[in-house]
Amino acid sequence: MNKKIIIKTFATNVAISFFFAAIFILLIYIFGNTKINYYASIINTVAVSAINEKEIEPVYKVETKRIINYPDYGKKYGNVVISKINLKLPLYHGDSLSILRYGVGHYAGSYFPGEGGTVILAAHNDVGYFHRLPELEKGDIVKLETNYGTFEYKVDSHKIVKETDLASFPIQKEKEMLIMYTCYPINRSVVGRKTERYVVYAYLVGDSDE
Amino acid sequence: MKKLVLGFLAVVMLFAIVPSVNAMTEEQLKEKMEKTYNINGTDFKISNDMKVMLERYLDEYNVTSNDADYISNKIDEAINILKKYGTADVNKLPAAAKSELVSLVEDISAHTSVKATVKNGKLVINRPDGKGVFAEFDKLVKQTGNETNTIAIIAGVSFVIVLAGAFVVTKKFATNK
Repeated sequence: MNKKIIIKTFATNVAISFFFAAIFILLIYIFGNTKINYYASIINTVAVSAINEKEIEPVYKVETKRIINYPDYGKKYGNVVISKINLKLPLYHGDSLSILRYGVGHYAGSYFPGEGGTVILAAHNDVGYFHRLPELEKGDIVKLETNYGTFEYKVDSHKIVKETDLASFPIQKEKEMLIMYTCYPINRSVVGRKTERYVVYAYLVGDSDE
Repeated sequence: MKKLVLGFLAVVMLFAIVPSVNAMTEEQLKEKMEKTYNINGTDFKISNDMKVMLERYLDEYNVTSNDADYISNKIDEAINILKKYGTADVNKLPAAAKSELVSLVEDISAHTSVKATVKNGKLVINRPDGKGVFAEFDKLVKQTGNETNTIAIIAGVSFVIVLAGAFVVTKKFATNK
């Protein structure tokens, strides 16, 4: 009998406590979401700077647009600099989940900057990463400062696509195109897997249609 | 006797000096990899992103004729596997078929200078000297949403606190009774 009372009391207490916890969570979300996002991003920044970023030295042949000594998968080989949104992030060869924790990932199935084809870059939509990608407008400059040279791209357009829409990520070698993307919506509070991407298209300065 | 020995030596030297008529060049291997194959009425060819990665590897490293021949044979076997299971879509293949394809990759790694493996569903190509990964081939579009889901963390922590609190209250109630 005593046991039954204890179980009943426990269940009642859990139910009441859960109700108040739900209200507690709602209040934190309404008043504290932005601050928590900011501090979580600072933790990420500390983790990035603690990593040993060994750089290699590829050699770039301008005449043939060829690279000798490609960087290893997982290695940093430059920086992505976007002055308009005050962004400077390390650029890595590869875009696995572990690489994306540290900066911008370069899809291994796309061309390297300077090779004359599509370069595909991805980064998280957290503060300090590609959070401000939607602020980029036509004409804004994106610089890829690599170990073998600096390449400037001019933003041309952007769109929101489904993650399965591979036609929006064309791999070609007619023209040097930079494609940068991140998960959409960018709002951190959306729970679960995101099925859309915010995609920005830019062309190598001097190569665009303008 | 002397003529016989000389003749034999000539034949041996011929085989040593003249490369095999059927030996495949790197360029031919590239063409074979990029060719379109018909699998039960559907055209199949490797995707542009895989093509970029393979071309990059062949630019960086030389593949010998022997290795090219071996890889070419494995490509033929892979095409036969797709034909056997009646689909050009690798994603629709049964586990047995995928296992057979993985074995082909392992064979290439074991018998040529191309050190490739399949790890967690990704094709990984290591450098021939074993020092570093040359490339990993994965799906094109990645999940780049926030790793730290704020609500999940707050909810998780709150739930633990709630349970602990309820336990303490219940224990106190039981003691007072």
